[in-house]
Amino acid sequence: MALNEPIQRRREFVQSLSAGLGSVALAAMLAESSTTAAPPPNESDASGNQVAVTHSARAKHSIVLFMPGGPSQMDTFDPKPALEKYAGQRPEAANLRTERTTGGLLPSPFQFQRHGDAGLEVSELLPKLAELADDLCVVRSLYTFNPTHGPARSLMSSGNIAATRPSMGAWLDYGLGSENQNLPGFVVLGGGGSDSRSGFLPSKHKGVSLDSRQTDPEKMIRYLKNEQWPDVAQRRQLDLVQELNRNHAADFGDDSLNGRIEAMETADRMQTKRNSSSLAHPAK
Amino acid sequence: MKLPLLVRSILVATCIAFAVAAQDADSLDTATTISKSDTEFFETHIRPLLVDKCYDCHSVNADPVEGNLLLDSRPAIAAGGSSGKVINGTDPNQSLLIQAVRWTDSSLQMPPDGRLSPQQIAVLEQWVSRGAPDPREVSLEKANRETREIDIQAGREWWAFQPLRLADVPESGSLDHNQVEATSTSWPQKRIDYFVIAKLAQQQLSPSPAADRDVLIRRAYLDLTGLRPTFEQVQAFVNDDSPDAYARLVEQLLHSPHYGERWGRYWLDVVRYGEDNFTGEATTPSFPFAWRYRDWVINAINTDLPYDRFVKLQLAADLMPNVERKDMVALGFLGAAPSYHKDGRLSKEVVETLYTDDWDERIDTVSRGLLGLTVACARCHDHKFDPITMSDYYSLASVFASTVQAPRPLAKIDAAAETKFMVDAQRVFYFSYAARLLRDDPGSKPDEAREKVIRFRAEMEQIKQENAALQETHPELFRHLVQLAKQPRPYPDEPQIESNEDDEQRGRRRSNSNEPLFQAVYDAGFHVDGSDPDFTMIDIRPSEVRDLDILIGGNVTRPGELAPRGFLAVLAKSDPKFQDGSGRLELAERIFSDAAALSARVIVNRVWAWHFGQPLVATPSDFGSQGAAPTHPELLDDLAYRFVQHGYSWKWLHREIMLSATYRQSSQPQEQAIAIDPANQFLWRMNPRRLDIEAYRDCLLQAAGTLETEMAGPSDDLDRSTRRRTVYGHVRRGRPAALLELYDFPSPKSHSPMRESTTSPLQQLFIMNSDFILEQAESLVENAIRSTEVDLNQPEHVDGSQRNALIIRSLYHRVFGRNPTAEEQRMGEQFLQSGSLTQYAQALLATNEVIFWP
Repeated sequence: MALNEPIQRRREFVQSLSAGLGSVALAAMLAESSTTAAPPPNESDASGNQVAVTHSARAKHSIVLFMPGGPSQMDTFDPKPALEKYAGQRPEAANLRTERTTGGLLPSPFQFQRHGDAGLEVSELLPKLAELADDLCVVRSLYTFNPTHGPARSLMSSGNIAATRPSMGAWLDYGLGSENQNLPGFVVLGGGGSDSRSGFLPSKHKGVSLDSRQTDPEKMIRYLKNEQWPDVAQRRQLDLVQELNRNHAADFGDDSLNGRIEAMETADRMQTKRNSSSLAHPAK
Repeated sequence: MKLPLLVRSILVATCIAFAVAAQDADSLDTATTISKSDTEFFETHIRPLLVDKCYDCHSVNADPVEGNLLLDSRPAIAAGGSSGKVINGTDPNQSLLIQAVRWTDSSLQMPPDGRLSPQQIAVLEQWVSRGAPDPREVSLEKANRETREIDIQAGREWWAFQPLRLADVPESGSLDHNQVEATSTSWPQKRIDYFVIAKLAQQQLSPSPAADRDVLIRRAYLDLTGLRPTFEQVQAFVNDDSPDAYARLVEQLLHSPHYGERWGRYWLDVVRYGEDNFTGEATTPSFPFAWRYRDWVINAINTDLPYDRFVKLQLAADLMPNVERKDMVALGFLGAAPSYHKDGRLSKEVVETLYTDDWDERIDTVSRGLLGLTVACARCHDHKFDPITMSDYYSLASVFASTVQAPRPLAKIDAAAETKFMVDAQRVFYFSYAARLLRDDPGSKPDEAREKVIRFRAEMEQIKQENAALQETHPELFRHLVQLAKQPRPYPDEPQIESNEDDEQRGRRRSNSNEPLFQAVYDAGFHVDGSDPDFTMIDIRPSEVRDLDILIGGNVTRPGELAPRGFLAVLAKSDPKFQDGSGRLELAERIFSDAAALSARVIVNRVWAWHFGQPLVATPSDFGSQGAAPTHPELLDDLAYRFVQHGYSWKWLHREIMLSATYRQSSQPQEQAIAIDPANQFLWRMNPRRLDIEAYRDCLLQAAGTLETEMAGPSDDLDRSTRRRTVYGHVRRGRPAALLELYDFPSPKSHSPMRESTTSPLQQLFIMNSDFILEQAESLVENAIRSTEVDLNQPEHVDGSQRNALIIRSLYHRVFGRNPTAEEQRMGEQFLQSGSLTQYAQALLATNEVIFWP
């Protein structure tokens, strides 16, 4: 593909803003979207007139912890009293074909209590988290129509079971861009299937998948360490590459070459700082 | 929706109350244009409330519609329900709707299952006071059919559907001569150039000078073969003064077998070539013979198989007359199309839905890939922007519901025997899958499960016996059946059998097999059999077709009208219905008759993009109204017209493009031109580009002298140490090779319109640190030293710096195909004073000059 495709220029422009400016732009975009969206009913006065939104969106990052195989919502945040009523039965609406043998409906064995000013119901399994009830927003309206892991996971991350739709992270990266021109805007720990998929969006929005089973950054990020050359020798090598690249860029005459020159410096910073905790724990 | 009895009785009471209060509400009867603020008010506050709280019982989707009252359109509300009108003028207090939601009357409380919030009630009151402005002219279901009614006749006027036209450009070039002359009269070399220079002149731009000859030969090599010329080849070309030197070079490259490897790979992006499925689950095994299709494509491109026949064979080789057996391999396009796992324990509806997803993928790849149309958008509703209906979509889906995947033998075989084999292979596979599943996980009815396992085993045995004759005539087919008939573990009370093949062996053969079979399809009606309440089976009917119903909302439980196999109505020049079998051949033929103009524009635009790095229509797989308009419409038409006239010849098209002055321009930037046209839409220069991963990896191997040029055959794992060209790497849909992922290889799960080109630090870590690159650097040094040995043995070259100078030269020849400049020579010698040759060689391989091409 050509290096000078317009969309790339636009993206580069946004991405080339310094981190500070980038977050200003991001906040502006978020604020914009929050005022153009329909206000929820409780932000309208009694006669239905729109009232001013008193706060602007502050989110800069989205961290999604998707835990397949984690405890069920029915045992944690989403009490289902009807399960008590139909315990052990298979009422018509719940009499579904499943992959594996299933018995009657099973009520949660755990007790729920209301917590915080909002009265959020949280089960006894999460006593500490329950203390933070007023800081949580629990969405209980999701449903699925496919019981198989792969498709259902795709449905969760992309809204569709087809393997062609972008995941949530890809959309965010597409819409908001990355604050740092050298590092990916969308990182996936583990996963790498539907969770990181860019689908029909440009592939640059695909989540960069890191091996979360590893805690050693050298194993999380492929090729992070050079087994052969000491750091000093490699830095000399890199200086030579960059000098050759700069001469070449002058001849070649295309700005996009600088992108690779800078990426190479970032890569070098990644490998020389590979033992620092900031890489080992990117979520912090 | 099922409601408890108590709620139902309240609803009945409500209806009576409405009937008593029936009043006039004429103001609602006539369609009026409502103001923007009213629309906004309705959309923001009223519609979501009605959808959320009322539609379950009061819209056409409600079953039953309660009180005969619909709240899903303005006329429906005006008409009222069994009880009459529900809104009375603009007075909320006189309107039943408001009374009902206020819950002040115990016999009239809506919604019955929970009172609205005071704010919600207030919003509804305000709406009535405003005169109940409502932009919804028709009810929901009708909205699907009527308001989006697509005008096929008008749709035919779209530019991309018009016949191709030869532009009025004589070869001598009189296209607005004044403009052309103003810039340069001698510039144009080909018809293409007249269009380009006319556009440039309109923009006050002028073309760039021709690229230097050393640049040109590298461009031609990389473009046509994905490999670099050697130093000697560059020198010979630079020193060749004959006027036809460049034309001869292009011709020579078009005859190189490496040309097919490069251009075949482009096609494989279009057809989302892959050798397995996203999830290697039991019902979606790998396609062990898919590589034969890859080789077929490479060979077809090398032999300049005309594009129309090239595509027809891929869609319908089995249905065409006079097709050589080796060309049947083209069916791998559909035969190795991706599928979703379908667990037989799921209900018929769920399994059937997954099959509709498979068909959707075929429609998407065929329509976007071959026709530049996003037909898959019409799966749940008529296309929102293009003249494509759900009926069109399901007519195509019917073609694929009548097409079943199966391997076929390479050797000639009697048609009836082949069909029996294909049906039996699928049946054996499914029986084996079901038997093993039920054996290991019998579920809640173990006795029935065991009974089924025994029955399925017997079925497999029966099929093997029926096909015993194949052992003589087609032993490869019999071997395949036996292999598919993998037995469940015996029950503890049965005699135990020992497996004579280890799992690893079997696994390898499953993913990549040399057996003389190929991935293909055949005509048969495909059905999902839900007759067993516990296990969903599949039902293939070889002498039948399957015409689908339109599925409303894409939902298999909501069939609509029948959509028999057929072509897109907007493109059809006659009755769009297909008559023969699945209709695949008719589909293929219509693409090159009824849709000839569109399909030619689409492929010419793709080829243009592969040559220039940038297409004429910026959205190569969307020529519909949401796609981009061509930057050079007359050029696209003229080139497509002549492409068809020249028998759909790929090589003709390459020559036409590569011999143009437009193509031969330098890629150097010009400040003024960048100011006017930074994206180079008007082609004032050649686009500088980055190599795709295939060419990049191949060039690294080539420079190191490790490239193995053996063509064809089963795929290699690119994550292991293979040294063949990248096109022969195993393409996995689930877990792509790390290297491919790193460098923007498109997902083989679906059609790819165009490659992306991203630059990331992770790519640089690969270049700095991977074993692959270190190995190449070592080989590169060894080869450079070896080729300088003769010189090194000369007494005058014994001194160390002389030695390094010679090796640096040799490294430059190998990596860049040129001599180092004095400056580069100096930098190299300086580096080698403390650095090693391998470090130096690796640095050269890591430079931008290797991956970017001017």
